[in-house]
Amino acid sequence: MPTLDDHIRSALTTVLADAPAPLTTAELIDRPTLIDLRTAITDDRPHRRTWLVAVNLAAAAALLVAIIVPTRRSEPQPTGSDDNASYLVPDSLPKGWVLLDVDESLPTATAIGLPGQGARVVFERADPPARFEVSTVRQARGSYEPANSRPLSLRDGEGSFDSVSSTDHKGWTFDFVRDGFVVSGQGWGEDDLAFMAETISVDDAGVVQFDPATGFTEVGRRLLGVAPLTRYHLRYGPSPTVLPPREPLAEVLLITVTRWADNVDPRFEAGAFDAMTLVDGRVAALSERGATWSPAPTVLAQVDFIDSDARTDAETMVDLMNSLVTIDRPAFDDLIAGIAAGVSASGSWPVPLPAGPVRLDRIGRGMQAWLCITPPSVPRRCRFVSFGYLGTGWTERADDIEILESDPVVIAFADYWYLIDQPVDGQPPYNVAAVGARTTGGPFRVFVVPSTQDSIERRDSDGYSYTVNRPTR
Amino acid sequence: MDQQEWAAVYDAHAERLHHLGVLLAGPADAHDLVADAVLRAIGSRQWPTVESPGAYLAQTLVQLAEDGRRRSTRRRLREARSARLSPVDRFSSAPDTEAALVVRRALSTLSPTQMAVVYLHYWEDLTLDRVATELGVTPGTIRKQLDRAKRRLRTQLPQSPEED
Repeated sequence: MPTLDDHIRSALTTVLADAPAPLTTAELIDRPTLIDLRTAITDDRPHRRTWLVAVNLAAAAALLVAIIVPTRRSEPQPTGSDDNASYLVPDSLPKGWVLLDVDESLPTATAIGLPGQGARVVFERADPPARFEVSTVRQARGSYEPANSRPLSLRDGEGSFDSVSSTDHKGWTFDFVRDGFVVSGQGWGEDDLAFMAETISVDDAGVVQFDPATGFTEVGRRLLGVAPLTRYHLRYGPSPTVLPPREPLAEVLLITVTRWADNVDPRFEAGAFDAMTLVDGRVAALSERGATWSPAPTVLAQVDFIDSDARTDAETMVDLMNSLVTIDRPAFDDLIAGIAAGVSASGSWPVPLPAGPVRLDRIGRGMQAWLCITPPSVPRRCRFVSFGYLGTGWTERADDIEILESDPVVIAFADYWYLIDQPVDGQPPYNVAAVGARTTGGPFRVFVVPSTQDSIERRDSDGYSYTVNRPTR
Repeated sequence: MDQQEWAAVYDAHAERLHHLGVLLAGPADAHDLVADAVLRAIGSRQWPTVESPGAYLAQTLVQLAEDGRRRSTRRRLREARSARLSPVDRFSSAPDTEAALVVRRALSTLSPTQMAVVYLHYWEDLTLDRVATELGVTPGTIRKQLDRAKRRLRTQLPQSPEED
């Protein structure tokens, strides 16, 4: 029976079979587009230099802050009151960079699912080093067919096994159905870990059990459908006064801080393949563009360079981690109030609402813009307009992005939260039953949702749903 | 590096670059993407000091595909809405059987980096460590990208060639 690997090779053959011949070197040199582009780039040198400087600022940012504040660090001390909570922020930024956005929307659960519908567990072995991440999802119907390639000697009808190997490392993946749950695993280890699939069982809640005799110990586990207590995202990038407005941001520094009810462990949160290291005695997961660590027992912090051309090294990431400081809520509110300060408005519209008129402003232009709401006698709140792939990754299916185009902006004030978007033909409608009022401001739609409503949903004809969560602040 | 030297580098890696171009941009735009990548690479400050020019060309091509995909979002969405075409249909100009169309659409769901990993691993039979070297990232990143690509393809590709 053909394996998935066979299918992939066959697919490549199909696509490449009728491909036209490659350009010869002579054709390449004489190609008009090459000549045009060469000319364009030559003419545009000053701009390119500025652009490259801006693009590479993120890596410089970490170095700068490390130089300026090499020893400063304070750890957040979560309290029971949000008003007194501390917030993790960079102590300094590279020249030209600003805080673009703060997102304090209600955190969603760890994965799609309901309590008891599945779980995720990570376990590892110190010597020889190996790590596994296994997820379970309750099998909805009896139709699941494991799609991995190499059959595994499991119980009858229990699926398959697939391996990916390389010279120095081995990555293992498997998926099968056991005890009513679809079990998907991926792992890393130098030796043959095929036996691990055999050792796994699943309890009634979908939690994976494995044989301790294998030498593995559990790092952590979490049931599906469990949401963190709070989460906020800080997005930093070059100011629109630095970048041309037609360009999307070439680079964004995203800081995500999540508070959980229970203790967290970066070894669990970072996944099976990420490299772990000790930073000042704390485990941290480092990658080329980010780091995950736990600055306090129930707090998980992540820094990621999104859309970065420049990769960062481990030392830079450690410096960045160390450069973050904690501030209290009033100072955090001051930061939020300063978003989009100094950037010119490109549109302003009064929005009549039952609770009183507000003003809707568009600050900036193009793909670097904010939408701001200003109620009477209240400081304005601004949110950066995101185009779906920023922060969530371009690996999302493009047809999802077609539905989303730009993400709606949500802003909370007292008893209501506002959802603002630009209507696009063919967009699936919102669940308007949850919306208190609906009006327009210039080219934008403004939905007013009572604060008692935690989210509203849109669903297309194919069943794809997109949920917008209420901002907590 | 003068023209003769970079031309020799291109010659040595033309097939790989072209295949990646076809996979990432479709047959109609592959030549443009490859030409752009060569231009970008040889015009960069790093080019004179690059240790592995072939790998650098491939990395530049993948990066250009990522950039192009990101920056043309709004334009493609408008076109897609007006023409009611999938915005990721890189192969819309290629004549297809229905089965081939399914395969092309399945591959179109991969990100450029995932596509490059799949090509280098399955077509050129490179080890994952070697793929990591060619794309300038760690083996761990390659494993993640390959795993995500396979998870996506297993839901998109036809179950078996016989069913085609």
